[in-house]
Amino acid sequence: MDLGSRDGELGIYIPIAYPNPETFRRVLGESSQYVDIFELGVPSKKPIYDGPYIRRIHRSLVSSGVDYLSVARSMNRSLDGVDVAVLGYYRDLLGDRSGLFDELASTIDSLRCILIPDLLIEYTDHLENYIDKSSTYGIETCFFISSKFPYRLVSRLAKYRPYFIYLGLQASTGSDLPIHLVRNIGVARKLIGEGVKLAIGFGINKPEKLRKLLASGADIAFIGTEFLRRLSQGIDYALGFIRSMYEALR
Amino acid sequence: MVQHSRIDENTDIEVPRYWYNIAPDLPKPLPPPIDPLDADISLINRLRELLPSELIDQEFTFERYIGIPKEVRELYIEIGRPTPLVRAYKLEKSLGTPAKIYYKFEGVLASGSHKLNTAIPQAYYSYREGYSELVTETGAGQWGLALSIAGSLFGVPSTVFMTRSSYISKVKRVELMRKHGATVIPSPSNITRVGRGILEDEPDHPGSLGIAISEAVEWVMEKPESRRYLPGSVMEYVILHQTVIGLEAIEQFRAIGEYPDKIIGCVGGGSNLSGLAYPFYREYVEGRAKLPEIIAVESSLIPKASRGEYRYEHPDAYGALPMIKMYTVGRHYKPPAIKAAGLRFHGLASSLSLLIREGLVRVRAYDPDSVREAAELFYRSEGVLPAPESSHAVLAAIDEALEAKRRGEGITILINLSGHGLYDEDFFRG
Ligand SMILES: Cc1ncc(COP(=O)(O)O)c(C=O)c1O
Repeated sequence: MDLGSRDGELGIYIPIAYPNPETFRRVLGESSQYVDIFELGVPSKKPIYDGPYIRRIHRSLVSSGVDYLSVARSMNRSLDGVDVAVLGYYRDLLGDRSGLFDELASTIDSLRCILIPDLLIEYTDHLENYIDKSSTYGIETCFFISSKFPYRLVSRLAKYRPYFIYLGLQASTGSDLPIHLVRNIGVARKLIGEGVKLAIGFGINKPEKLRKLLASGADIAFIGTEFLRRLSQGIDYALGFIRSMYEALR
Repeated sequence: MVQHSRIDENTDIEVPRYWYNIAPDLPKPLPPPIDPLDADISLINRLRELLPSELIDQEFTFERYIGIPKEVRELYIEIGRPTPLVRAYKLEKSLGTPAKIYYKFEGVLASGSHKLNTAIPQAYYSYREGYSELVTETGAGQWGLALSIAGSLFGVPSTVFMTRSSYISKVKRVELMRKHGATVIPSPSNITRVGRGILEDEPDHPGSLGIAISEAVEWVMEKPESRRYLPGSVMEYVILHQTVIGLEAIEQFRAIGEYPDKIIGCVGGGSNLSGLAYPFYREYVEGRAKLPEIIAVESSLIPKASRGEYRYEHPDAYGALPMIKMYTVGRHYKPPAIKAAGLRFHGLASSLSLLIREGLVRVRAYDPDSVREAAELFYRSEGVLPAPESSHAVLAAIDEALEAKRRGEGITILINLSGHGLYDEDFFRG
């Protein structure tokens, strides 16, 4: 994809196998022309940093018993070479009896990194393990941060040369609090320096907002709740939305 | 020669021009607030309808320093800032300790406590954003009074849900709030669904801060276009405002060439201790000073930090506000009707909880009788009557000073005397 003429990269977040395996693959296939990166969610029983909307999706996926690992195995063709970041909570990916990190890391062809939002908040001591595991599978690291992260930690994360550092703009996905996002993005940018990509997400729902936030110092923007909301009303509606976001960046 | 206990240099220091946000300097990331897993609506998003925008932004800012608006800073000066740093010579003498005991006296502020430090900016932002009714909870009435005063400075009246046990026993503060045009309602009340539900089961319920918060939130939700909910503690932005205490204290210590070894404050939601201690923590992080031992003192009857759990819980009894990660005895805990009513809260601010978890703040719990004795000793020796809440810190300081005596150590202790107890006759009556 020609990024030279673009103001930033666009990613969409979609939980694996949502709304069903077939539509999921179709969404990947048809949106790949607009999207620089897919952020694929591992269905979780406890997606604590997500808002009610995405939580309901997780709940329905978990209770449907869909075999999302096999969906992940069969989706490579639909990805069309677009980069993938898997997003999953620590317990689901690296918890005691979970081999999911390993399974996913060895399954997805264009996987760049596995993002674990609670890693540095609830499982700080497991940072090295995460880094080691990522390098075992030849993938990069990527880190989730919020505006409540210590400066030193953020600067240190940048030194690991991750694929990106993801700033959660809001306290949870889908929320829309009156926070001075441009300022917070500016602080994050300063802390991580220029050599590492700054990704942003949570509550980005309009082309103007997308453009403004990317212009303020971020490199990649992820669209989650708003895309999924539209997807529930029809795949074309969702794709039209993503196309408008894509066009906003040209 | 009579020793002057007031530090002359006090008057030379400036009221700070910024507040200090500790999050960028914490040893670990501050866990974000969350919605309960089974929530159908986002309680996080609901904050939009409850709090002034500017305060939401301060809660989630990534900046280390936030400028104090000129109007707020001017009012800080009018209501008594900077507050004095006082050496308690006579208390030291009566204990026969080699320790130096200083107290930062927030009780001199117009409302009688540190609560005014955050009441002023909270009322200011609400007024500026066009709201016409300030709604809150209060325990002993210190917060309710502070907000009533701050609101009336901007011409905005307050509605205060006051825990029933205090409504009955802290008569003066109820009167003083009303003088400022506040509507004071004993909680649980029959004007909210939450209150009615409780009264049905238990008509004599003494109330709790958790219940009063739920009532205040419900009251705002009925008319979010004109009302705002303004909490007296627990939120990170409240602590942010309270850092004026510590920022001043650092300058005052600098002026006399001293530095505290121990910093002690009582904890309700954690704002007065944090407001005093966090700027000293910054001095440590920036390599300018050692880290004083920070001691949080709670009531043994509401032992959230000493015997509670570190987990996600709602700050209000009915789960109307997002959950925060904190030390807590649980939101359904029914606190005994102690007279240090400002400590009758089931949790503790998230940042302070994290520092306790990381071993950077120690915790002490005391029973009401020992606390009252300490308050009386302080009053007899210093002539200053500490608030029942602050008296918890006084007792801890006395214990530390006596320990220093046993060891023969000339340590320096700093207490946050967060309020005066002149309107707490219920406490001193015993
Ligand atoms: C005088 C005084 N000190 C302390 C407190 C406890 O609150 P915090 O821990 O937020 O300082 C209160 C609360 O009402 C109070 O009135």
